[in-house]
Amino acid sequence: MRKSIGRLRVIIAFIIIILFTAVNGFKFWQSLPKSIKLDGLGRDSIVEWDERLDPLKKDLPERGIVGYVSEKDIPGLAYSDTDEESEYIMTQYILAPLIIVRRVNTDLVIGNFGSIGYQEAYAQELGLVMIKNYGMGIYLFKGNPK
Amino acid sequence: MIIKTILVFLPSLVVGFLVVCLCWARPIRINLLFKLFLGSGVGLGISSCLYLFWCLLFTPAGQGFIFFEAALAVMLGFVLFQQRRRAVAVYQQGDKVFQSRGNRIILIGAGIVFVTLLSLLSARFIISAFQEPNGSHDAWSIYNLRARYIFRDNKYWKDAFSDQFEWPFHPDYPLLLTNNILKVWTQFKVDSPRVPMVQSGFFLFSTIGLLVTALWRKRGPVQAVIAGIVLLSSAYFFRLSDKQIAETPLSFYLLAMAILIVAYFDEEKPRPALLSLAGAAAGFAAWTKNEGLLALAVFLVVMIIYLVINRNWIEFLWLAGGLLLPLTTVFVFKAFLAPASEFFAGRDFVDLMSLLTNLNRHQMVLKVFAKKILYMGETQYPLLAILLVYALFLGLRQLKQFEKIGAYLIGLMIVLTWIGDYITFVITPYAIDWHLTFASRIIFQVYPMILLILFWIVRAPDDLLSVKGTQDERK
Repeated sequence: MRKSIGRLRVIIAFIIIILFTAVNGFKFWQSLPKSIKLDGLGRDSIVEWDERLDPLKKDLPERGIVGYVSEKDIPGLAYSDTDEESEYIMTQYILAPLIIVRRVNTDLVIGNFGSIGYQEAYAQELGLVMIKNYGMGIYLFKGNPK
Repeated sequence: MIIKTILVFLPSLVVGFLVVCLCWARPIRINLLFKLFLGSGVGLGISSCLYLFWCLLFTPAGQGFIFFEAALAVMLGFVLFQQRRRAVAVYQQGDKVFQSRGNRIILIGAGIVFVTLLSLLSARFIISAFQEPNGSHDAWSIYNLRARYIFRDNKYWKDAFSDQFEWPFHPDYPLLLTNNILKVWTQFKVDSPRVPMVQSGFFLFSTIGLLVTALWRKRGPVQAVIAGIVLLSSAYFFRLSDKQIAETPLSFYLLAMAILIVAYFDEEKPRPALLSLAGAAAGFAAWTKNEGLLALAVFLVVMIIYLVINRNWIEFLWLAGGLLLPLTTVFVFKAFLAPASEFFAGRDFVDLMSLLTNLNRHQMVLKVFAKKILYMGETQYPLLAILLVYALFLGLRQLKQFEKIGAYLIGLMIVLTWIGDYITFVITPYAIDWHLTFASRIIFQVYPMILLILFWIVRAPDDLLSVKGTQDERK
C-alpha cells in the first residue's frame, strides 16, 4: 500500500514536471524555426551600423571626445526611444576608442537623422555647421565648443 | 577563431580545475565532471582578476599573460601532485542507484528528455551566436565596449573608465567578462566577436553542468537530471545566456557559492577549503556585475555571523583567504580606476531616506516584485508555486542537522538578496518605471540556486520507489 502511494506520488510529480517542461519550453521552441534567418547570417545590427558609419571614420580623430545629435535633440520631432538609444550605443561601440557624448560643445559632432531626414534648420537649432553628408542619415558637423 | 579562443582560455580553465582539486582533497577522478564545470568558472574568475593586475603592471598591450597563466597551471599541478602523494583516498560506496527496474525506466526517460533539451539548446545557441555575433545591448554598451576601448587604445587604456562616458555605458561596472575578452583579443591582435561568444558558451553550459553534476554526486542521477530538465526548459534562462551579457555568469557564481556552502555543511567534519572556494565564488560574483556586490555583501553578512556565533575562527580565516583575490581586485578597480557609480553619485543620506520612506514607491516596486517572483522567468503561470507543488507531492527528505544548516543559510541568502534588490529599486536614481523593466532579470539571477536547494531537500523519485540505503557516496 505504502509502495503504491509512493508510486502514485512519483507519477503525479512527474506529470507536473513534464507539463511544466512542455508548457515552459513549447512557445520558445515553437518560435525556433521562425527565428532562424539563414540569409544575412552573421549580419547583426552592429555589422550593419558599422557599414553605415564606415565612411565617417576616416574624418574622425583617433581618440578624444566627439558629440552626437539625433532627432531626440530637435524639439517637436518624433522618434523611437528604443531605436534612438540603440543607435547611439552602437555608434559608441563602433567608434571606440572615441568617447561619444550627447553634447554639441565638442569640436566635431556626429549627426544621425536617418529616420526623418536632415534639414538645415536642425543645424541652426543646435548651433552647428555641417561639414559632410555621408548618406543614410549620417552627418558630421562642426561643433560649438563654447 | 573559436578553436584558438578555446585554446587561449585553456590555461585559465586548467588553473581553475587545479584550484578546485586542491580544495576538494579527494581523488581527482572522483566527481571529475563536477570539478571541471566548477573549475571553468573559478579559472575564468581567477584569470580575470590576475589580468587586471597584469594590465596595471605591464599595460594591456603585453601578450605574455597566457604564458604566465600556463606557468601558474604548472605550479599548481606540481602542488596538487605533492598533495596527492600525501593524501589518503576516501571512497565509500553505498548501495547502487539502479536497483529497481522503475528507477532505470525513470532515469532513461528523464535522460532522453534532458539530452534532447540540451541538444536543442546547443543548436539554438550556435544559431543565435552566428545570427547575432556581437551579442546584445549590454554587450555593446558595457562588457564588449570596455574591452574594445582598451584593445584599440591600450596606451591610454585607463580612459576606458572615464567619467566622460554617458550613463548607459556604466564605466564603473566590474570587469570579469571584459578582461577575459580583452586578454584573448590582445593575444591574437583582433577584436573578434567569437571571443565573447565562446565565453558566453562556457558560462551557459557550465551552469547547467554544475547544477546537474552537483546534484548527481549527492542526490543521484535521477534527481540531477530532473533538475537539469527544469533549468533547460526555461526559455528565459536561455534568452539571457546567448546575449554575451553578465546574467548567466553571475548566476553561475551564485550557484557555485551555494553548492560549496552546501558541500561544506554536508559532512559532520566540514572541509574548510570549501569555504575558501565559496568565498572566491562570491567574490567573482562581485567582479562580474554590480548586483554581485549585493550578493557578496549578503554572503559575507550571513557567513560571518554564522562563523562568529559558532566561534569558527579557523574557518573564518579560510573564508577570508578565498575572498582575498577577488575582493582585492574589486577594491583596486573601484578605488583607483572606476569613476563613481551613477547610482550613488551626487546623492546624500536625506535623498535616499526620502525615497525609502515614500510609500508609493514601495507599493509600485512590491507589486512588480511579487509578480516577477511568482512568475519567475517571465512564465505565464506561477513557476515557484508549481515547483512547490512538485516538492509537496514528493515530500522533503530527512536532512541531517548539519545539512539543514547549509539549506537554511542558502535560503536566507536568496531571500536577503531579493530584499536587497527590492531596496535597490526603491532608491533607484533612474525613472522607476524604466528600471523596473529589469526586475525579471535581477530576480532570475538566483534561479539556479533555487533549483539547487529545491532538488537538494526534496526527495528524489527513486527514494519513493523503494530504493534502500544511500546514494553512491563518492566524494
